[in-house]
Amino acid sequence: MQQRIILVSLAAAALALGFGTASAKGNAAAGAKKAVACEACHGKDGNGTAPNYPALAGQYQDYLIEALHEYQTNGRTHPLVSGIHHRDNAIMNAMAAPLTEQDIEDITAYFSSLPSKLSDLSGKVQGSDDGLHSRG
Amino acid sequence: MIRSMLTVALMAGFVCFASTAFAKGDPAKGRLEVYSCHGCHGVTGYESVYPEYHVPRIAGQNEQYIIDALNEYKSDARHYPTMNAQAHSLTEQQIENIAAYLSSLAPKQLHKN
Repeated sequence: MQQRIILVSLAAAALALGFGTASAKGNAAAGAKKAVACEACHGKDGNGTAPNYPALAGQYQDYLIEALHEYQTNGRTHPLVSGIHHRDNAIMNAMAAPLTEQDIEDITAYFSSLPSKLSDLSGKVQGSDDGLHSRG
Repeated sequence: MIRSMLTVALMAGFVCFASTAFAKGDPAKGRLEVYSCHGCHGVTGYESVYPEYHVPRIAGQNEQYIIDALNEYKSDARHYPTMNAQAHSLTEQQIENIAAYLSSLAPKQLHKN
């Protein structure tokens, strides 16, 4: 009986650990090497080389993963994307097409780890306190 | 020497061109018009329900990218129902105002998210 309890609590601990690490996907160091093609437009610092290229540095990793999956759909279905979501953009469809899941996890781990200029809109809307005064 | 001066002059010309070509919106108006963005993009750590992922951070994002993204939602080149509905309700001027405001929120110093 006692052995079984120990087994169950061990299993629960292992499960909890598993979930804890599952949220941080990919390997940022490996991603840095794979990100060279991205940097031509998104910049070495991940903040975009021109105003029409989005800053990726410090963006939520799971959003970046979703965006790449949506670019991969390009009119087809994707096992990891709800059928209604897709993005058609000639450059990004071509960039995303050859990426494996491991590539996507590594590259997004890298960009999301970089120093960022992005934040959410909390406190930056008229009527909410603060606004323009809290920025950097 | 002359060549490098020419290069610098060309680059300066490009920077002037880029800054005027992209700056059309009014950030003060944009600050009011981001009100409807706030419900999802204003909550730190907010996740969409299905599929589950974080709604992106848009404060500080690059100006022309925001304009392009909203126009892609408008034309359905990007399909995500909530954002398609939002983009359809915006005029071109409002899109430019919002982009001007959001990009103006970029801090001088980068930070760790």
